[in-house]
Amino acid sequence: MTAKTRRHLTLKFIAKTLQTRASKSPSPPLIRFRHNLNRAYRTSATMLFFSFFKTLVDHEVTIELKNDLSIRGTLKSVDQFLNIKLDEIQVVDEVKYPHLSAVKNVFIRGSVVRYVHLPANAVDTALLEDATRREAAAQANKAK
Amino acid sequence: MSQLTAYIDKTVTVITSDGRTLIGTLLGHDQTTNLILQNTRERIFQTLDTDVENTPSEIVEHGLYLIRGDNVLVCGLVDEKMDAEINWTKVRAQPFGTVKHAT
Repeated sequence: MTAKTRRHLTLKFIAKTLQTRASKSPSPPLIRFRHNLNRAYRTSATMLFFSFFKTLVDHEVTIELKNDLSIRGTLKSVDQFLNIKLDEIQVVDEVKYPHLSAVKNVFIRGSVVRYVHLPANAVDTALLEDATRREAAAQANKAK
Repeated sequence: MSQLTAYIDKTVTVITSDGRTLIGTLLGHDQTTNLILQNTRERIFQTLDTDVENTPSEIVEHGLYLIRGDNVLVCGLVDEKMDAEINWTKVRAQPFGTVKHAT
């Protein structure tokens, strides 16, 4: 099998999976998520994760920064740079890092985020997987 | 969209990539997170193993500051009431690590 046919088959498989998924009626938040993702396909990879983070607004997340500081709080907003705003924050090791003891609401610059710990039940990993693969396929097509 | 607009004219705590903690009134910002702070103070904390009774943590006045966006890690809105209740000269803290790949 040539690389081209293999890629063709993979794409066909993804398209079919998405079709089957679409025919089942998903819950309202998922519809919104898919709508956002579909729009994101046509733009860039960062836009996909921007849309993804927008679906997580009002969920509790823990952000680990590149200076090892971890902040837990409710995700309030996110922008195109993946800058994040958290509310009702709690620094994970407050005894070591009391610097933000009088702070409840923070803006975190996207470029210094190392990890975002997400609530597992708020993420449809299969859907996200499909989306990222479609994105990668689209980019590969563009490069040709 | 610009999320920092909500903090303008309010007291904020900024943590920078070299591990400093600056407090001041946010006068302005732009989309690369450049910040203008008025009446800026830096809190220099003694480390966790220090006896703060004899060597208190310091507060250094800096005045008007412009912080380039690359160096900003966190900009937090200070709850003035909670802040006033804390005796910051008695607070000890582990120094933050620095950030090398912030861009």
